[in-house]
Formats: sequence, C-alpha cells, structure tokens
Amino acid sequence: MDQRDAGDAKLLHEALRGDNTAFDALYRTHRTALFQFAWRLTGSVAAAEDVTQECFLALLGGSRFDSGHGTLRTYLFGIARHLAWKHVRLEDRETESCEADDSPAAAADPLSGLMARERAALVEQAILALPPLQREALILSEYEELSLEEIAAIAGVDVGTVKSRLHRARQALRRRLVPCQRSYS
Amino acid sequence: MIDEDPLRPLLREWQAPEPADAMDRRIRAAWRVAQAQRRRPRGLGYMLTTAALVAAALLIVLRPLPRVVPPQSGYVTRLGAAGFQPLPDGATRVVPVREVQQ
Repeated sequence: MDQRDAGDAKLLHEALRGDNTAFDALYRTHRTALFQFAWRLTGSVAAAEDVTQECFLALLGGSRFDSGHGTLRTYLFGIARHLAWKHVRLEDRETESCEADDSPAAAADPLSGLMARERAALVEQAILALPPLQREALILSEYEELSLEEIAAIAGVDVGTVKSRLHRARQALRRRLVPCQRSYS
Repeated sequence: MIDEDPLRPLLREWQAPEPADAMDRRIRAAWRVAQAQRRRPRGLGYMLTTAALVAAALLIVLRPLPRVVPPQSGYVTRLGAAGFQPLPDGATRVVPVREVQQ
C-alpha cells in the first residue's frame, strides 16, 4: 500500500466516524475520475452523477472496504463499473454528443473546433462500438491511467485477460481510426 | 511501447465533461444525511421498546410480596378439644336443628 492509499484509508476511517472534512478530502480526490469513467461507460451525465453518488454512499454500508484486499481507488472503480453496466443494461444508450459544445474540444477557431468535434465524435463512436469488456479495459487504461493490476482487480480477472482485452481493443481502434486520422492531417 | 502508439493522441480527442458543482453539493448533502442516519443508535422505536422492557423488569423485581407471618411458639386457639369422643365405628347420626337449639 503506497502513501496515497494509506492516506485514503485513514481519511475513510475518519469520515466514517463523522469527520466531514475528511469526507470532503476523499471526495475531491476521487470524484472526477469516477464521474468521467461512469460517463464514458454510460454516455449520460445524469447516470454518471448517480453512479458517483452511489459509489460514495456505498462506503457507509453494505459491503465494506477492506484495505487488505486492494486500494480504495480500485474499490470505488469496482462499484462504479458495476453500477454503470447495470445502468447500460437497463437504459437504451443516449449519447450526449451535443454536450460537446461545452467541452474543451470546442476551440476558438470555428474550423479547427469543428474538426476537433468531428474527431472526438469519431473516437467516441469507435470506442462505443467495442465489445463492453474491451471498452471498459481501454477506458480504465487510456483515460483513467490505471495499471494492468488495478484494472484486473476492478474487473475481477487476471492480468493476462486484461492485456488481451486491451490488445484487441487497440487493434480494432487502429483499424477504424488511423485512416480517419490521415484524412484529417 | 505504448507511448509511441499513434492511437493515443487520437484517443485524447474524446474528452469527458467535468463534474458539475450541483453534483458536489448533492453528494455531500446525501453523505451527511446517510451518515447521520447511520450514527443514530437505532431509532425512536428501539429506544421505546428498550425503556418498556426495563420498566417491566423493574416492576417484576420490585413488586410487593405477600407478608409472611413467622410461626410463634405457644399459639393458643379458642377451640377446645377437651371431652371429644370419636363416634364408635364411624357411626353417624343426623341431628335435627331443633335438638341442637334445645
């Protein structure tokens, strides 16, 4: 357990004893990553907000975090993954690509902004077209920058399986995206 | 090496939104409510039940017991058994009321 994980465990202990400052610190550390991970899996801001909330409330009850079996970060991502897939199964996916107007991809130059949005939309479509488990592994690796071991712990599989999923996901994305990249450049 | 993968810069084009302040407020409030509920012992119903059980136990323990009169030596009754003769062979006889009155 590294220093950050030990700090997380200590903050959680204090938060569970009623220290709201400790909870705020814990929340600030993990909320953006959890929200963005859930958003990339569900494609919905509302669903991502619900998933983020449920992740933190899960710390209060039900299955308790055990620092002997992984870090708080992987524990929270594991809950987020479970809830996000549950949402994806229940709801028809409604891609909120129109929200890209507020995203950093919208540049000041209208033409470059338009091209950036188109590229972002292409990447999104290509990632959403991946099989769910490959998509999940790719998002955790590329966007959340988790290690292979962490992704394996979150997905409940061995490292070899994660490597295989990532390899296949990257191959599929290369086939779909690299030709587009050439046409934009 | 992953860093040399030409795919990576392209993947970075897909950027996720930042979480909204409204979500932060909502989750902090939800945490405080859930935390308060968790820390409250077990609710009013539990406290009332416990109080009723304690009161019942106290009533049983502290109930007034019937007074026990200790036996006294040399206790004299007003009934005298002097001159009593049992009936022979258990023979019985009906005594009319008027004979008793006479």
